[in-house]
Amino acid sequence: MRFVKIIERVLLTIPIMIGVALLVFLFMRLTPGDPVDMMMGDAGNVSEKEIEALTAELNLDKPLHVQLTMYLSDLIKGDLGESYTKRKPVTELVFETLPATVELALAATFVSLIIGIPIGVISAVKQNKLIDRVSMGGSFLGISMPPFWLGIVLILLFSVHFGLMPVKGRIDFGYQFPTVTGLYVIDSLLAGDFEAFKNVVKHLVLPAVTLGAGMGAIVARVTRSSMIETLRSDYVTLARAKGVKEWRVIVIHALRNGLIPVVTMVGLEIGVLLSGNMIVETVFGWPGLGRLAVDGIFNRDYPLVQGVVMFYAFVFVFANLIVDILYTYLDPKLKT
Amino acid sequence: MLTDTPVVNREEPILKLRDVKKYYKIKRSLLERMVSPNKDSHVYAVDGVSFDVYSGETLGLVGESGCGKSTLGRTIVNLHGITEGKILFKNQDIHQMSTKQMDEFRRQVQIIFQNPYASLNPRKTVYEILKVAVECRGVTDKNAIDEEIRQLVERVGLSVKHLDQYPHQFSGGQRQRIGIARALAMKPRFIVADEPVSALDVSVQAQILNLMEELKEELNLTYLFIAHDLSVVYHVSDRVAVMYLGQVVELAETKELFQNPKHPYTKALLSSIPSIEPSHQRERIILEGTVPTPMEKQEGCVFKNRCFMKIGGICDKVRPELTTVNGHQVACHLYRKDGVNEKAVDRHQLQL
Amino acid sequence: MSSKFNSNATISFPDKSFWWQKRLNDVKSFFKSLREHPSAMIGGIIVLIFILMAIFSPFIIPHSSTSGNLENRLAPPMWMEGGSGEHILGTDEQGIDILSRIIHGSRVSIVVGLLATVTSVVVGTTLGLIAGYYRGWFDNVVSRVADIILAFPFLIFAIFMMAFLGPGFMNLIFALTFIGWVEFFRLARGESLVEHNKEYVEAAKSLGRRSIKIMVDEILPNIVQTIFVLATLRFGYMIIMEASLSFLGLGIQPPTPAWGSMIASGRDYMFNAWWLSTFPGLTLLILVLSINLFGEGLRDILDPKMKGK
Ligand SMILES: Nc1ncnc2c1ncn2[C@@H]1O[C@H](COP(=O)(O)OP(=O)(O)OP(=O)(O)O)[C@@H](O)[C@H]1O
Ligand SMILES: [Mg+2]
Repeated sequence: MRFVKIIERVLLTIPIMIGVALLVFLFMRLTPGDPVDMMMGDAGNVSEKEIEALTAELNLDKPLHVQLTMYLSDLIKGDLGESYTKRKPVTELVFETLPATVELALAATFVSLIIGIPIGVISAVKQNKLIDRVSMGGSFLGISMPPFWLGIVLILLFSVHFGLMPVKGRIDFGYQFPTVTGLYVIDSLLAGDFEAFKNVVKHLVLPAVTLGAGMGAIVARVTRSSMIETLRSDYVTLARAKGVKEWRVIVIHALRNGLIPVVTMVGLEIGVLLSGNMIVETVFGWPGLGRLAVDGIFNRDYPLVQGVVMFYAFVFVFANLIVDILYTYLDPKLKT
Repeated sequence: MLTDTPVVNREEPILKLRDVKKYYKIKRSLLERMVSPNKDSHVYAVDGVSFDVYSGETLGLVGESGCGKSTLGRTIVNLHGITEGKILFKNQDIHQMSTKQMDEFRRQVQIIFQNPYASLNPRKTVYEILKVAVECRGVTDKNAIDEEIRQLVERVGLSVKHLDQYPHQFSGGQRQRIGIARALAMKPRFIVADEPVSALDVSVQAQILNLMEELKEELNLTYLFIAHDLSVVYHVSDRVAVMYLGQVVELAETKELFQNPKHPYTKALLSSIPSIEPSHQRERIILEGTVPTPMEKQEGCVFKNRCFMKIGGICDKVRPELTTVNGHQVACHLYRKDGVNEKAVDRHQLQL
Repeated sequence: MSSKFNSNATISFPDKSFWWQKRLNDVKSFFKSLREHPSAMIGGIIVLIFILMAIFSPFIIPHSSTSGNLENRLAPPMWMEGGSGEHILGTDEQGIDILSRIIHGSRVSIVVGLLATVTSVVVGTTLGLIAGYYRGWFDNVVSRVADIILAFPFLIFAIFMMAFLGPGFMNLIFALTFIGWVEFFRLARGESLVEHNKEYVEAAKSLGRRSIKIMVDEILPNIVQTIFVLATLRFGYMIIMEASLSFLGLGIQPPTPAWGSMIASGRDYMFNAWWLSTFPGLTLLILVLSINLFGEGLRDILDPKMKGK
């Protein structure tokens, strides 16, 4: 039964993916204004010939359904088109910038968990005490916080005022180590370059905190409510009755089960993470996928924008799929 | 047909059901549909029911939970479509009616629901609930509406001061009174009462039943009274139909049915309540097995797998028709017209 | 029968003002329970102040919000050295009074947030009611479209749409609604499905009420509270979305003051004038925080079953 459910869920993503592609395609075509005009708009005097060439290059001279089939068959081959400004396949650009984005997203998730889980646990244990109220108030603040502004305030404080952190970028000029994973934190360590590592971490802290703050707030809330529930459950009472020390009860017995909803929540929040990184990467000049897309927007590089958005959607759909599958395994109610 | 009671007009039925079937399609998942695209599965909730209801009578409808009583009731008041068959109200097919005729049908045929907690809109006051009903009958004058609402609430034993209260402020019995008032607002001729008292305390049940009895006499109503409580049915009905797994297996005058049940299922059912007819104490018949799922189409007799009087292969293969035997309508091969099985019946009755 | 009623003229029937009386009672009891949620009350009051501020901004701004004195550019807030009471929160790179810009900017946030939320609610609830009521092909089609839109992270899709539509007020509302309706659709559809199976709906059908009446007059009143709670919480979210888009230069364009674009332009002066980005952002935070406080309180009051979700 469960297996059937999973297969169904996997199959269900196919029409959604096709729908996503169709929607993006429709948007590109139905937008007022000719894409060629828009692309050439800023270029000044353009000859007829150049326009014709570009039109042919983008296949805009063919009927709509032909365009659609070409577009879809390209997609299946993993071809997201070619960036107009960078004269490179979008797929290539995506994979070049992806490690930076992944590094930031992982760091942000890490930050959100090491902030959120302890706060949630303490709040649950000291339910309705002052510390609970303060931390829940704090998490409320985190949820309401506009991330781009948080980033700027952090820069103002830690970079401008105290001068502790760099203002932007991923690493300062002059450090060099071989690229293995594309994640600088790991690569610099692998190279044994401790100075570079320190520099990388310094660059990473503020963006990660900015991106992770909102998620940390939600993690704290979810942890709290799920811990309150597990701390009331029978097996925890049993452990207590057996005379297990209270901190052991909390950490070993309750936390293990209390974290299940947190795991699924983190998976679901990947959308927030992806959205947030466009903003945060812009604020911190982080050379990732989000920056790539935002730059594309301002350069009117439509193939690039469209490709990156499609990529985001695919990742998001895929992440949701994984979460759902995990959930069918973790949810005791679905065990049949 | 039965033509021997003076109270009820047995000349012309007000409602006729002819081989009524209602199957619910079961939603299947994507994968199931891909694996076997043309095998739809159904719940055979009502599977070939025919009977008449005469003007002025109360026809009781009994059966175990899940046998399709509510589905049949809802089908009669046309709350959902029908899979097969015909329902004639005053000789008019209700599925062939024009919108105007349908409105008139709605006016004449009303329903009282099983669950008085769900059948009243929680966001409406009693006044609003009744106002909608009166307006649906076509009354538009504000004073006329108010006057009617006053009469209605008083008739069902509530008072004007209840009007601006919400359903959650009432007890179950009071809510059922509101439900009755709403049905009455249409000035109906025929009311389907779907277990109107089964959700109520025993002490309240009698009050509601009495109210319904009074109203019936006053307004010359016809009831289809659905219940699973046999003693309730015994007291209110002129005739009783017994349902099992989507089919009517026996239908007869109340007294006759209770004293002299013919269908094995009815026998078993009645043997479980010795108190009603003390003069006819029966041995308790305990049925073996369980009711089959309504998701399988039954071949032959619906009762075959639990029947203690089964006569053989014919029960497995041929569905018994509802036929008239000594004033009973009964669907059982024991009572075939040719009399072949009379001996078998006698044998069984001796054993009992 | 308990007919103790004698045609006594003192018992009056509810008349036309009855509906209003009922609503008035609802509102009264709502405020009563609001008093038991002080944080929600404070949130509500602050939101109200912001709305009033947006409405009356032309009359209460101390200076022009679109032009300033270039000689007095980047003046610090009054409590800092070099600041003056003339410009309480200082001036920006064009010498425009920041407080005036913030007050005026509340218009964009409130209007865009409110309008985007309202259109999302209307579109989503209408489609959801119909889909949940009739099911069938309509439900299938709209639900699939909703699935597809949900396959995009909200902000990314909004950014994508604005990139193609171009900046501007109407486009902003359109883009935010295009994505925003989905949640309301899902909520209304689910609730409508549940309500549709309840017997009071069948009772209305058996009275011969028309489907549209049943949807609007019977089902809608039962789901309107849940929808209202979600709408309040989404109102804050929409405001953040608008600010994010304006921050990226895709929303409301200067010289119209909008908090998002103010924060963005302040970034260029981070090293010598921190107040440019800080104050609009702080205002934004306060507004969104208040809306969320109010929304959570509202949820506890109106919809106890959603508590803790
Ligand atoms: N909307 C529906 N879709 C699918 N199956 C249904 C639906 N409504 C009822 N059924 C099924 O049809 C069968 C008959 O149900 P129905 O409600 O008519 O029984 P009932 O005799 O009224 O039972 P009860 O005494 O419990 O009210 C049951 O198996 C039920 O599960
Ligand atoms: Mg029933």
